[in-house]
Amino acid sequence: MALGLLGDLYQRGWRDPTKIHLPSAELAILITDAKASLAKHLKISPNEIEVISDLNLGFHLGISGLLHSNSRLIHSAVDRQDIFAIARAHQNNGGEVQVCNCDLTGVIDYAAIKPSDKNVIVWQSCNRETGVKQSATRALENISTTGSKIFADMTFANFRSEPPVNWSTALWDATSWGGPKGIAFLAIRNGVNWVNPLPHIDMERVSNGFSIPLFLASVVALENSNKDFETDSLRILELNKRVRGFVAANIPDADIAGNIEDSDPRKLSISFLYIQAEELLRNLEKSGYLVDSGSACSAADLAPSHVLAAMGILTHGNIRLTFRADMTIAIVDQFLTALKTEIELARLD
Amino acid sequence: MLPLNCLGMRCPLPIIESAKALKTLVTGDQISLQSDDPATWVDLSAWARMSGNEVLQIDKTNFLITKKR
Repeated sequence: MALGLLGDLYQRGWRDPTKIHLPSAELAILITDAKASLAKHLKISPNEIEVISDLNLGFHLGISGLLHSNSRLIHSAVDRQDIFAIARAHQNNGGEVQVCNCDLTGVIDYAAIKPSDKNVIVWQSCNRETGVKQSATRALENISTTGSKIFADMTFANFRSEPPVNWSTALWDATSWGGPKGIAFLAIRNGVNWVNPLPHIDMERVSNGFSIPLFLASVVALENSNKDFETDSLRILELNKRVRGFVAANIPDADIAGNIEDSDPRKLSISFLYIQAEELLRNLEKSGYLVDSGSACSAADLAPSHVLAAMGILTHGNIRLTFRADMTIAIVDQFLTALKTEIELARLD
Repeated sequence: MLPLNCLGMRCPLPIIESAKALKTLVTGDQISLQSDDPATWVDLSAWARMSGNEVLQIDKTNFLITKKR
């Protein structure tokens, strides 16, 4: 629906909402209404939201805006590379960095954090490679976060999940609920000591250079996802369980990342022993299936997925599956048959 | 101890070669593996967990595999 509306949104959204003309004022009202709807769904205040057009920039603004030169930045071994880059920059500027490891199921050891009011903690809601979710209550209940600042990475979270109670900044990605790429939402909690780490020219917290039509489309996508959330979630869970069950019963030597109980069912990462991922991906594409991988041979830098490596999961022969509610059981079954055949053929070699 | 030179091979080849070599051995036998692929230790550890064998990292490119089953 958001895609169908884009033409109309571009018709209405090209104007400058800060001008005094009536169409501009109408657009400004539309933006305000959209922000209110977004805030309601994400359970934050509308005045805490900043719309940005670059997700990577969102990590920098959200984390670096909380840091001081004497801060200790704490993040996990399974965080996105953007966060590692911010940590390296902080370290190069004399700051302290602590990396929390995770176990075989992907649960991050936040208990290793030493309480301090210098802490800036990066908390990951859900891993975009494996779908493994972190429980804020379980993760942070045993450590004192008094005085700490928390950046919540909500970029792959299901939009109904909430950041930890004492979050300072949080980042959402519109693609996580089916919105367009190029729109992210940075929330800066009211009262939090946050400073824009970039040079800026006016009183705006961050630059408002985002695409208004894409922003409006992302809010429409969120509202639509919310309508069908329960049925879609159940359907996706069923598909994920089906793949896990089939692989466990029919394809030996497979390493599945994370338990279904602690994972978002939209993602599934499986590694197959003795299999070259690149060859598997090419053969699956010939059969009509586009599949992603975290294996080294499919990455530009020839490095295996740091997420799988941190978990201790096999990094070669890896596939990452994404499930959508419009996928049928028949299509998933056809894919599984193709997957089994390709793996058996490859292992014969 | 069986020496196995996998220098220059990309993963999963060192793991495939190790598993093949292990089939020719009996329980308790060892393989001295040389491999410089950056994923070797991570994948060797995962393979040991899945296959029930034991592995030890000697240094950056040398690994010891013990057949347990």
